[in-house]
Amino acid sequence: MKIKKVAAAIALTLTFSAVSHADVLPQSQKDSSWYSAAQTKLTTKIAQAQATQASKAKNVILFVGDGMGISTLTAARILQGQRNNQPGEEGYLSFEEFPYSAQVKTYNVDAQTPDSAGTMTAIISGVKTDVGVIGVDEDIERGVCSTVAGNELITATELAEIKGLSTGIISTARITHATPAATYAKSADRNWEDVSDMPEDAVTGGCEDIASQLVNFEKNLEARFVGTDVDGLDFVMGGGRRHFLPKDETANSTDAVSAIEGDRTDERNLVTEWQTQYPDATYVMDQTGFDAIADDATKVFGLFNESHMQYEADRANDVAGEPSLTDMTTKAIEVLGKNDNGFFLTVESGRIDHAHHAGNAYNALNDTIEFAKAVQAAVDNTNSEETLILVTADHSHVFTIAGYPKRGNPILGQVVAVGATTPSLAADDMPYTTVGYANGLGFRDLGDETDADASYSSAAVAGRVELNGVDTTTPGFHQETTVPMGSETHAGEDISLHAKGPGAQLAQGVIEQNVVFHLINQALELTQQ
Amino acid sequence: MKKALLIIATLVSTSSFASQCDIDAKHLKADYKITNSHKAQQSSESLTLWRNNQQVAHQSEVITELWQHLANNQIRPIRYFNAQQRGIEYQPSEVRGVQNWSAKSQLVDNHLIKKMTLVSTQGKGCGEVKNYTLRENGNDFNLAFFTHSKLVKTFSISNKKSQTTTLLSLNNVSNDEPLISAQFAQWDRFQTTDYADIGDNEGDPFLAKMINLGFIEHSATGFYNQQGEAIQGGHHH
Repeated sequence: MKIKKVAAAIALTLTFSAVSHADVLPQSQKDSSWYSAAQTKLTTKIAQAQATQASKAKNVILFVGDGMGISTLTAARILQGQRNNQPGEEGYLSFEEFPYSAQVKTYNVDAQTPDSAGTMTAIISGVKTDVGVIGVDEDIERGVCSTVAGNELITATELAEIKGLSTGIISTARITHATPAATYAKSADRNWEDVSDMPEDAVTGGCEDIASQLVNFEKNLEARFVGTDVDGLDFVMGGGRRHFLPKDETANSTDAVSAIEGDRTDERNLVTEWQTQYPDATYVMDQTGFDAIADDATKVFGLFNESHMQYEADRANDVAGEPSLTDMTTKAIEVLGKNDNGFFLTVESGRIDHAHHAGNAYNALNDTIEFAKAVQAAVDNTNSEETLILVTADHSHVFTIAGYPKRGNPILGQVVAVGATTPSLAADDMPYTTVGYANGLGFRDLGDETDADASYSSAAVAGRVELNGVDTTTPGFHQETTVPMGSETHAGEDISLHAKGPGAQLAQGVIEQNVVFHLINQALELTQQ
Repeated sequence: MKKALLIIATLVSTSSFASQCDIDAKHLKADYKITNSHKAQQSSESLTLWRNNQQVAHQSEVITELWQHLANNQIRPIRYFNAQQRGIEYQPSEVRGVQNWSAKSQLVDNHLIKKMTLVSTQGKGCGEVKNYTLRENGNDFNLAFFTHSKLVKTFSISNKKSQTTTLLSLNNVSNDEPLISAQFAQWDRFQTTDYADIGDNEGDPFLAKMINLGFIEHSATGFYNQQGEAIQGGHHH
């Protein structure tokens, strides 16, 4: 009540203030569309501040754009607008229109510039930890199995499962990759994706590989919390079949591209183990299977690729076809939404990060635009009064937007200055692109190649290249770089958090990354059971 | 027992082969010597070409490069580091030219052979060798090529101006299938990392060191360029 009175007083003051200032403003200023649009936005903010804010949610959807730093958001929003024949700068990605946002500090306990394992563990468990480890605290020693016991963290996914919510994980990367793995696994090393990736002493020491932990999620959770009865993950989709299948040709999927698809050396077939565990559930491995998921399905497992799923731009080239991030998100909400207790879903766009590592802005931005579509699908398919949607990244990349291009200049193009029609020249008399990378493999002109990873077959080309006559807006163009490295790196700057729905109003200011878990926990009351 | 079925080149005369040839050209191990000469200086190294159906490997002292011809007609390169028993898997891609399968499986690209002039044909059956020659951009190319096994017997590139010569010569060929299968199985057991995941693993000392040792397009056995044309010299890091 007190807060409401203060808010009303502020609003009144602002209104009077706006009126009194408007009187002294020239008519041209008051008539400016920039001015009126900003006033409208302020009015919306005032109304938002005055409205009663619900803080408890039935459902939470956590979206993570892997490597989706602020510069990626800016460039992707411009590209999105330009694809719609707009200048681009004035638009918003779907989640940028959410009412609340915060600036997030991403460092790991032992690293200034973080990796996905440490950051996602913070996001999903509420505790910052070391680089390279999954679901364990900072007392772990990376790669040492014996240090896992006693240092395991409980994740929001596990807590939601115990609370009786439906749970889901989606990723366009391998589902055993660091970001999705942090939702369900505890591992001394992010690379222990299957048993063949682990050192012998870790296997004999009793550490379980990440893929196995996914399939044994229910059993492990019940063992950890004796007396609890959970029904396991309800919706899992991503890539990474090789970590679930034995190294045996007979276990190959029908669309296998390798002679032997599976990597597992313990002869286990985790797909069939999962099917045995959940005989009424649905397993899919291609677009046809995805399209055939029954309307009444309540438990679904999809593994669409031997390794990572395709970049969105490269999806049409997949052997058997695979769904988009938007398709998977929509389907997940349909499946998980059947639980009256609610659901907790994590959705990762994993390949924004990979495209940046490859120094290929086209695919990073294209996958970010697809990510924004998936968020919009979530908004469209949920009730904003009962579903909290959080959109964030795990870390940034050394991706920059530079020079002085004129408004509406193609974001992937060469810099053309205000009033000019030809590219600006640098001090070396050569044109340059607006977007670029501070390090990495640097320039490649692979034309219409939609697979960003095709760049990895040749050495770094650092420094300047003659771009005169080069179409830098093609999918296969890789931007110039300054520092030659085998792979472009993460960046240490802050990233953003966007929030909508009950509890979203708590996403404000500059926060540590592990606060994200606490926002989820607050909304779903996960630890109050 | 097909062990050491063929002992070619300097070891036996080509005339010992029958006019019919039943060599399994898809499963073999061929040992080569690469000799690089510059004026009076000379150095040599060994290279083993392995074929195992849809896989080809070039094994040298430090690195083995293996290519898998995938079901979707793409080629996946894997670079193994012999001493460390680890590898880096590259993304199967369709980057033009570089991924030419004949260049990997024969060491000489079919596009280059097409450009060359057939000088003579010797021998019969498995021992049939075709001799080709080409002069281009100051380089003299001479190729002796086993027709049925599609193996280089000798291949030289010399440049009079720079006084350099690179000679690839076949020493020994084996069709020992168990040996070949065992070798590919051993490589398969090496721990590999996707190049796409390298960026997340800069802290791994092996990866930090190995990724800068050279890249697939500039392999140790590059007798062909991206257009399938020969390039001078055999060692291109």
